[in-house]
Amino acid sequence: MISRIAFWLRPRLADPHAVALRQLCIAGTYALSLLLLLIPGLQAESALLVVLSAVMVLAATVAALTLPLQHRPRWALLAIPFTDLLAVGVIRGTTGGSASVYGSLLVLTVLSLAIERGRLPLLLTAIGCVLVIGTPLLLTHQHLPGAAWVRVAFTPATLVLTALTIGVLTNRLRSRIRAVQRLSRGQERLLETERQMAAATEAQAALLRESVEQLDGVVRAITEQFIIATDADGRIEVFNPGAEKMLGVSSDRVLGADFVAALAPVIAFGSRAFDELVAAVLDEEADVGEWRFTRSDRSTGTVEISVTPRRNATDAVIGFLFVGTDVSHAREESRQKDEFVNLISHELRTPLSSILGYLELISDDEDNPLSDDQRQYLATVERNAHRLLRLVGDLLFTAQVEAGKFNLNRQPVDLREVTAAAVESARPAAAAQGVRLVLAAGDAPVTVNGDEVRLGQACDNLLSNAVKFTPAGGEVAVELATLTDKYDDAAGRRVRLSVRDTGFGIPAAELDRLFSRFFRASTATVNAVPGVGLGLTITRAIAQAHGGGIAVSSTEGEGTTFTIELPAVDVGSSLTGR
Amino acid sequence: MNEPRSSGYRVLVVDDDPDQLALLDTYLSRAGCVVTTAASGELAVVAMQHPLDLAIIDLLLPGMGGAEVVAALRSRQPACRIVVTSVLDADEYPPADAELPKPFTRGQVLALLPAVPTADGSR
Repeated sequence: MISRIAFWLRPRLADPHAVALRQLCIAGTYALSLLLLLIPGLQAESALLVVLSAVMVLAATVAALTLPLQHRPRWALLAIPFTDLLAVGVIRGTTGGSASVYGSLLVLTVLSLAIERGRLPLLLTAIGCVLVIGTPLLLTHQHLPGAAWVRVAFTPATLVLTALTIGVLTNRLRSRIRAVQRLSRGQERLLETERQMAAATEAQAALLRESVEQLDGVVRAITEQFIIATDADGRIEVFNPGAEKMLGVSSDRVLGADFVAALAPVIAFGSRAFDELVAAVLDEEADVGEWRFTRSDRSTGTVEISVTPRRNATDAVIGFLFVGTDVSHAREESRQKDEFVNLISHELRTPLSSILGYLELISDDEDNPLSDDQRQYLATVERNAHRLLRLVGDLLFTAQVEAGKFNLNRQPVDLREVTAAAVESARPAAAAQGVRLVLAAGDAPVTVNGDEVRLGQACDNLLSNAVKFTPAGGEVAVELATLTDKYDDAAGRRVRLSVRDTGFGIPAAELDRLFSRFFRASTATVNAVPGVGLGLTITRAIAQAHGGGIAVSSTEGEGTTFTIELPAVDVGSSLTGR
Repeated sequence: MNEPRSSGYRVLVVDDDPDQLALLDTYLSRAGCVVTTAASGELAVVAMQHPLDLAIIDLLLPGMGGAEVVAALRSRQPACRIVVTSVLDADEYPPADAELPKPFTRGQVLALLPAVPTADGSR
């Protein structure tokens, strides 16, 4: 029962205005004060008025406890303590008026009234006090001495001042409380903002962690290439599992160590220092090369490596990145292929030697001369054997070119002689095809430092192509000239050899593949031009080996011009400069 | 012509290919040389025990290689002229007194022999 009452009371007591609480205090004090009536000598004149007073207090208490907490109108809040004030006035009046002990209870009710906000409570206090004090005096119909009227004014005035003081004090208290509440709300907002910022920071940190892990995961997943990053001085910062696997070195042994020092046992740097290895990339952005390396099982291999610089936001170099791919297989296959071609070529030459040798024996046998027909047939056999021999030689040469090893026998060579010889040897075939040959070599010597045999081979190739690609009635013109560059010194002068024909031409789309091994232009097959597609590969290799190059221009149906340019050399200048 | 040019000129021919061996033998014999043939480096070393004026040695031999034969002959008979022959390119030959790249012609073989003036002064 008591707990149920407490449960019902608690929310009402929690109300900020504390009306119910105040009212209960007043009611309780009033109820206790009624006990004073039991004291003999303290009598109420009218029991009816006492009851009226008690009823008023009771009504006020009930009202305080039952009014809805949220929407209490102002007048209700004021009416309750005002009713108490009047009730105390009533019981004071019946217990002796100004001599009554209940006079002091007035203070309690005034307190309750004064706590309410605004000026109205003061007014009510004034009215109430005047009523309470003045009414008994009026009702006794006495001729009041002047001093009594002072009491009517003075006591209420004091009480009003008291109410005013209390009002001011409670207002100040209220505004302080409001300020504190504002600060507290502000603080809560700040806390909330801070919490949100912390959450955002955490989310960003999580994203960063994730992206670092992802990148790390990618680098770690690369196991077939090595990725080694160093700082600007060559200390290793990143050494991926691919590097561990390929080089057989674990990353914790090399992280922080010097690149060259740590890896010299497994990579053949030659005697180059780190600065030399990276010098090339400081100007350009990447350098690609090949290094020999040793695996953990002591086998050696070749790695194709690209070096790139790492730059920061201000474009300064902060380190280097070495990415390497094991190309040993490809290199090995390529080497084996070239070895194979080498072997085959030599194997083919052996039986050809015997074929040609014994053909010669038959043809030159004075004891057994041949008939004309036999001689002709044998000539055909010999011609074809020579053709085979030339093909083998070309194959072998291209294999050597691919492997990067063929030697030049360099001497000063006058290209006028070389071109003249080539034109002469091409004349029979040209005549047979009805193609005119023209040579314009000029009067001055055109000298290069080169291999006469190979240069002759290049000219032969170009001439024979030109003749083959030109129909009857056409012309092949060979031109030789020395170009003078604006620099006009020996290092800048070049020699140009061009072979121009009026033949079938080559489609523009095929021009860039023209020099690749075994490539034949479509116009060749269309026009049944014999050949296997090695001549231009060889010619280009020869031009490049001499420090020059070859270019082609062509118009289908009109003709083709091949131009070789080589560095010139002064007649009589020493060879040591080249 | 078929005149013996170098009668009695002692020549050793070393080649594992029987056809080439026979070809060189034919050319040299018809020119009047005394020809000894050896089909391997080991047999060549045996032949070196007799005096020789000229040796034509093929480089690609089974077992003991042509270069080794050249070295062996030089040490045994320093006066003998050595000619190296092969299908390989000439720039891969070890140093010798002359080279005979294959395929060769009869004229090239005969040019290796010392000139013997004929009655009318022509070679």
